[in-house]
Amino acid sequence: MKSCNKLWFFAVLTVALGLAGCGKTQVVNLSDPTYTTRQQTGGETTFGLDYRDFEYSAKQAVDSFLSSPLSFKPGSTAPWIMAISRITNDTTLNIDTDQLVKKMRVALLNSGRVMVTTAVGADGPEDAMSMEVRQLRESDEFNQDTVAGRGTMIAPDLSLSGKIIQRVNRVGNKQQADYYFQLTATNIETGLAYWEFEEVIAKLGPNDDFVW
Amino acid sequence: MRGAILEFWFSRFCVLGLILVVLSVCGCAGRADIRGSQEFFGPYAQGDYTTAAATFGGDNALDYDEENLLTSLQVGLALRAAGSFESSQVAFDRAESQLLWKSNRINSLEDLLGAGLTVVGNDLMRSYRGNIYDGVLINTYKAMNALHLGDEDRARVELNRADQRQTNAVEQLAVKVQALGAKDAEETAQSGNIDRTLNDVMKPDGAVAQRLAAVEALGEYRDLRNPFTDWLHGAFRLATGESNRASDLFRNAVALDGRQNRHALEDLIVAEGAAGGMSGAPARVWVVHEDGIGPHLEEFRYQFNVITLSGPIFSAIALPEFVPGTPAVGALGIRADGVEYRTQTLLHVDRYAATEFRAGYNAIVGKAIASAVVKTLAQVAVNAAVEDQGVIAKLLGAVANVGISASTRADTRMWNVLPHSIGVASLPRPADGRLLIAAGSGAAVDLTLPPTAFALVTVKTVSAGAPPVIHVAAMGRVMEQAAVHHLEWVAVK
Repeated sequence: MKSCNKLWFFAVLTVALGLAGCGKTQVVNLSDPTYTTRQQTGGETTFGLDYRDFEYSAKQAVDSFLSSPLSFKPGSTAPWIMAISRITNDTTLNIDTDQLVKKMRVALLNSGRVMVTTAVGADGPEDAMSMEVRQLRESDEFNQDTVAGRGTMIAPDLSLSGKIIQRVNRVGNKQQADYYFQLTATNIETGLAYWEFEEVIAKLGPNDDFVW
Repeated sequence: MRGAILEFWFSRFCVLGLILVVLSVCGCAGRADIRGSQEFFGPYAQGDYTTAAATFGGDNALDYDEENLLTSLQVGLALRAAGSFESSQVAFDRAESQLLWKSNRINSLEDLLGAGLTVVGNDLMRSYRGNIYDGVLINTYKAMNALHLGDEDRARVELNRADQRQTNAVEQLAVKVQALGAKDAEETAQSGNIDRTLNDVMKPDGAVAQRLAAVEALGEYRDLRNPFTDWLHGAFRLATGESNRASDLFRNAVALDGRQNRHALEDLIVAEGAAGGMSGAPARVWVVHEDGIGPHLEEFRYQFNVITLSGPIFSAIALPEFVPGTPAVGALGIRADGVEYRTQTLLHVDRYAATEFRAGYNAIVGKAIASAVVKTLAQVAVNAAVEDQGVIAKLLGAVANVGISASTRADTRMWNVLPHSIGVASLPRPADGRLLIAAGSGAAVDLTLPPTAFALVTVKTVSAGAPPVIHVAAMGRVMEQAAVHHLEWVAVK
């Protein structure tokens, strides 16, 4: 195990030092070398997180979830109902974590195994309209057959939470910004973490400026 | 041969002198900054923060040159004190965009100062580039602004940035000092004369060394890391349920502070307890007290002899002199649940600013002396050259002398409205949600806290006569929507 760790270390170091010779910022993915050599489409690589990083991380996360047997609701053919809890941006970048979550939601919905509720969320409902329209039950102006009835909303059984962490280290006269994408799906009934995910994307480049 | 040398010096320094005269007459960036800061300072020191911000930015306070770093710093702080947190964020965002330089980019004095003038130039001709600690404080203030606006996500980003800046500060300071000490071709050519003069000026009983000793007496913050920013970050992490991280940050603050501040020690104990327990941190209130007005720079002129071929010639240098700030009321008295507390200083801004000032001072003195020696030798040559020339040449020579003399000015720009000190108090959240805060001999304020587990109360007392300003931010577990209370100073009957 120890020698395996050493091999990993030297492999990463070799890639890092090789890239350090270049003047531009490069992406180093510790677990997926194909991402390291990704096509430079859509502009220069920056120290920040761009759409490619979110797209990649979201895909990895969804693939991880769907490859788990727990992605099927036990004893049921119905999909999981997932609430989106807090996804914390713990970096120096002003980013919107919905850039990550939205891509995941689309893929999970398309899988048929998960549906996301917009009626419940960590900071209140994402879409308040579900509750608002229920205020119309008293209104004579609306056909009451078209107003949502009582007890029709479905409560979530999974909660998705997570964090994007950034660590910046100096490598010679370069700097490396590591981004950790960490996600957890909690079974709301038991409070147990049902699924865990972590992906690390590193950016290596000049040490001239701060990464933000 | 002598004629050729004189002609060389004459032509070179007439042109240079004329350039310097033009720059001086036009009003260089530095003098405009200094004039602006003087107008701003009057109302600011009286606690009239809105008027102070308006001296730069008009009615909305933000209508000024966005690329002017010093203006953005002054306006950002005034708007924050006035409770205009969103506008303050805009000003600080502008300031931060001018302070993105890190370390490796600074390879020379010109890189550092952002212009290509030679040793005979003057720092005041360049735009203000800021200090390393300015960057840390910008992000610290932006974090507090965000908390007052109820924007926890933004506060987290700003505290992370401040942390990055603190981590980078020691390396950045080393590069800055190295860049300040870099010599250009003219300095190298005159190095013998410059070194001799420098030794004379820096003798231990001299006026320059005495001023330097006064700065050294203020002490320093190791690695240019300020304990208040770490403490604030720790408080934030504790309020957001990240006790382990909070514990690390409080430990940093306690170590940097030398275990002087008992409130920071108490916070460390609370964070460690929360990290090892199951129930999270108990509800707390943090009081941050910005007191007085921090240090500023004044010009100090020093005269000495430069040895020339014609004998010793009287010359002068202009150096920035570090003037410590002045406190306003000292500590705050706080009463909660029948218990008395007092704020204790966690950041001595004099010491913080002096740490960076002292690190670069020898290089600044060396640069000023090099400039004076080169200019004196040039003036001697010019005067000798025009002796046998016509009226126009003499006129040009005189203009050159005036220009060169006018360029001997010290750069006294700095963010001079920072507080003299930042004190903190940390206490359990009172059961009745009320605090009584007293500043100096003035009347106390009866404060109702927001209904959240944690609260940050910031108090600014700029001078003994100015009314203190208090703002409250809700933090952590939110029981109701975060609210900000901008309180007037009200006497409790």
